[in-house]
Amino acid sequence: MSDLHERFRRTDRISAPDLSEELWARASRPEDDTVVVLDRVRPRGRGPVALAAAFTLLAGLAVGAAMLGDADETVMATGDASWLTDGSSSTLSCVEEFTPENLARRSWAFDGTIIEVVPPVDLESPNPDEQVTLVTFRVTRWYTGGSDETVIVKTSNVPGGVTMNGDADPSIGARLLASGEAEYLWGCGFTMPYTEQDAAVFAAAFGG
Amino acid sequence: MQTAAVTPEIKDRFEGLYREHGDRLWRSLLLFTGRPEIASDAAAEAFAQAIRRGDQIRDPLAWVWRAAFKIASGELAAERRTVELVDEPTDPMLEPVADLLAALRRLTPHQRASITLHHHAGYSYREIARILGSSTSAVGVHIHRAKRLLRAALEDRDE
Repeated sequence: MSDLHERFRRTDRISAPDLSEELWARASRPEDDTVVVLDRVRPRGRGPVALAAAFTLLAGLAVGAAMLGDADETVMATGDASWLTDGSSSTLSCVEEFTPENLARRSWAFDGTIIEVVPPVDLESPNPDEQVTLVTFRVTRWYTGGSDETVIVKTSNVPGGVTMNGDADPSIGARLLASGEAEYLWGCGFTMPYTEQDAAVFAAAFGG
Repeated sequence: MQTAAVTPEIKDRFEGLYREHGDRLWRSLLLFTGRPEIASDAAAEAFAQAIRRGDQIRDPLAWVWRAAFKIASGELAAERRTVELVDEPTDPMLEPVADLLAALRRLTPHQRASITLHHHAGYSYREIARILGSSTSAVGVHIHRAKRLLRAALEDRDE
């Protein structure tokens, strides 16, 4: 691995350009808040290193935001998380049939939006932690079992949308009603796409 | 968004930040994108947006890194829609890291950003998680996978 460090160190041989004039020139321009990036505005007037046309930039920034996430931003709310909600996410979860009474026995439950999906490192790995998918949620409401703004849960389901060419996982932005035991998200009805009607079922199950 | 006035204090602060961190940020963006022009655009734009916000930002350095990687990621995705990216960098300036850039292209954006921020910029997992809006454990997974993929890619090239 020291070889890897050495390869990264070679980057220091490349001269970085002096951007000081450019950044002050950009900073002095009025912002046009029709192009939203971070909280999040990007000026339309582009400097000498300007690149993509505005429409491709907009599309790209939206994907980029989804790929890299941001604690300050509102993520897209239309993700497809059917790989997570259809069928079993844990061999345990289908042992029990979904009923409000069984839901009420889960150790945690929340209403949250997927902000990151990390697929398994290696399904054949002897390390069980490398065989699971990690799903990070931004929690809108905890029904029981937690209070953190974000939470990572595990599932043995594997997302279908993540590719090695950098496409964003299509489930990013999906809002779910999720529940489970220990670190594991349960499928088989215990985790489902958010609807107001089902949110009322979750709230009632946990006394809310 | 309310644009803050650029006071002498803000000017001094950001000039200092750029002097101290500008080159490291640009090189990290270069490794992330493989494209000098995108690195320049993202770095300049992130600093410019931060300067406009002035005192509204609690941690300007973290904000600039996060904004720069987000902007670069967006521009990379936009380019991918319009042009076929080449596997090998052709700019002679990039020769010292040509093999590394080619290997990095095999990684996902999260893996590439995480390992670049760790191995080149020297950030901890926790700091990287903050920059990327991710979690420490997820960053650990990304770096673990990135190392394995990079090692294999670089060995392939060396053979």
